[in-house]
Amino acid sequence: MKLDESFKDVLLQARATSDYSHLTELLPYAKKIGMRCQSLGDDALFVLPENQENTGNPVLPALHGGVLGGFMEMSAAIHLMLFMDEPKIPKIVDFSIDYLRSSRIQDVFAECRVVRQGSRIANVSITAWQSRRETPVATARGHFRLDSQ
Amino acid sequence: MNTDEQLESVVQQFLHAIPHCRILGMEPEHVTSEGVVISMPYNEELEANPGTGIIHSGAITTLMDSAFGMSACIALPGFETCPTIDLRIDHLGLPDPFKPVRCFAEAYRVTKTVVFTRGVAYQDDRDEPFAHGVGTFMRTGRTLSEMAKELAK
Repeated sequence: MKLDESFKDVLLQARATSDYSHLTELLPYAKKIGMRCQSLGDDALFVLPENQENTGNPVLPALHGGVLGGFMEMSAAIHLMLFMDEPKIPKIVDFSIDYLRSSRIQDVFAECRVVRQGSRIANVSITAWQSRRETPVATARGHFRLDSQ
Repeated sequence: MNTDEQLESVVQQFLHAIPHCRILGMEPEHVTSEGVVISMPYNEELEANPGTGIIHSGAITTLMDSAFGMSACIALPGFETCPTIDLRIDHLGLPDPFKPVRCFAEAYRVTKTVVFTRGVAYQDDRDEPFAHGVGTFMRTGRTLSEMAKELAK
């Protein structure tokens, strides 16, 4: 996957200005589920706003677990793009998610932590919550390849 | 014992009742008591990077979670709905661009409380998957027909 020039410009600008609001508009899947990214101090906060289209269980009703997974995976990838020394497009190797609570049809927030970044592989841990950060709806872990483009 | 036709009709109704699966265009392609194959068409809105034709891994996660959940549901008497406990997906490669994707899923062990599932995502050949996964689901005792009644209310 090549780092598209126009995306690279937006990414570099986002890194320079800490304004992350335009990044997700350029990533079709992020746009499809409606996710957004904003700066939070020196960190980034990812938001998946309430969206009926992301429903997985219409009776409860609850968010689709796969969408929550996709949101957390995309959050981890964007987090790496923003905070790695050199901007690269991380490539997913594997992804593991634990669902801790049923997530309702309302905003979901996620924050990421790079547990280890080697020269080739990064390990990122992601936590997602709705009403309170202390009661996460899911935790996940992903490995990404960081080969040069 | 349910026939494969009955199982396929259950999976189709279940998939169509899930808004996000309907939006992604998921359809059952092959359903037997051994497992399910669910297909998802290529759609440029699901791309990782615009213009590449490659579906983002997040949409693959959604396809696999859905297919694993369907395989858990039809493995249980009365077709219980099962929330996901955990899911692990290995991305063995990238799917070919601009082509539909499919997921084969099977429930390989059912206990009193959980259902263990596994499967692969592929395009033309199940023996050449681009992703492999395992998922664990919780039994709730709530059947699909109970869920359908509540939806109709």
